Amino acid sequence: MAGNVYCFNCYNEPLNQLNVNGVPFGTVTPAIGGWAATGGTVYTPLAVPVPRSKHGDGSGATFPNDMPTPLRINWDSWTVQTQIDISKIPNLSLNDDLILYIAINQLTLMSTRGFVLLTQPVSPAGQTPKAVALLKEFKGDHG
Amino acid sequence: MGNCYIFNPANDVLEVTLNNVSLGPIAAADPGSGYAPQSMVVTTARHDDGDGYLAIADPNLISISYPDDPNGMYGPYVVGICFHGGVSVADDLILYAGRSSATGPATVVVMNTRGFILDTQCSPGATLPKSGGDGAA
Repeated sequence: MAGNVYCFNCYNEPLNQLNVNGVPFGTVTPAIGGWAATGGTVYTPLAVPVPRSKHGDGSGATFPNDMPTPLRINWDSWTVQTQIDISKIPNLSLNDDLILYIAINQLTLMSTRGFVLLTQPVSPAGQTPKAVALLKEFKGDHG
Repeated sequence: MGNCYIFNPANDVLEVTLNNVSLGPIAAADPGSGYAPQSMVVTTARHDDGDGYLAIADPNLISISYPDDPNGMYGPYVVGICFHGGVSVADDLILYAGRSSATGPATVVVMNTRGFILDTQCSPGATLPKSGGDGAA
């Protein structure tokens, strides 16, 4: 049985829509809640399991093994449009679960044993004036 | 002072040493609960004073190991963490302690609470090489 990619929202805002392989994942909004800002699970990212598939064409919202996976990620303040290519990762069974941490400016793909398989910078687009200003400030601090 | 929340994304127990102070284990992520990572919290400070704080103004060394791995073949990994501005000592920070893979880049990522991964690479002179096995998925 094919594994899942557990997609974690590493942000306090709910991840409203997670579009995988050209198809919205799930029917619930938000797709993934934001982390708690207080309490025992503070900053603990929340996740949804998105299925993996052998082939990409017509497979719906899955992470295919034979082609890059387009991703569109929407928060209230940010939108990220990118793709991630699982097909290039060696020694990976289709049955393996994977972990994908989604931050605003980077995707981090790991095996379930915590081995980092891929880190991929992404370019967020600010959806509010405050987000645009924050991005400018961040780039000023970190290049 | 702020805090740094160190998360263990792996489904193996993780032991963390920060600036030569053992912080103890972080429980494994549970596959039954969707691999939700477990965490521990340490204090951030301007300078490393030997108490196991995460120093904003000094290079940090974090060592991660997995005691359940046979013969310690996957670690410990020692990674330098340096901050390059844009971080206040009052800020909370979030650290994901991923493992090295044979071909992968740096494995410990630090982010701020605004959702941005920070550049925490140290200059080569301040970064110890990783030790132990090359790792495998």
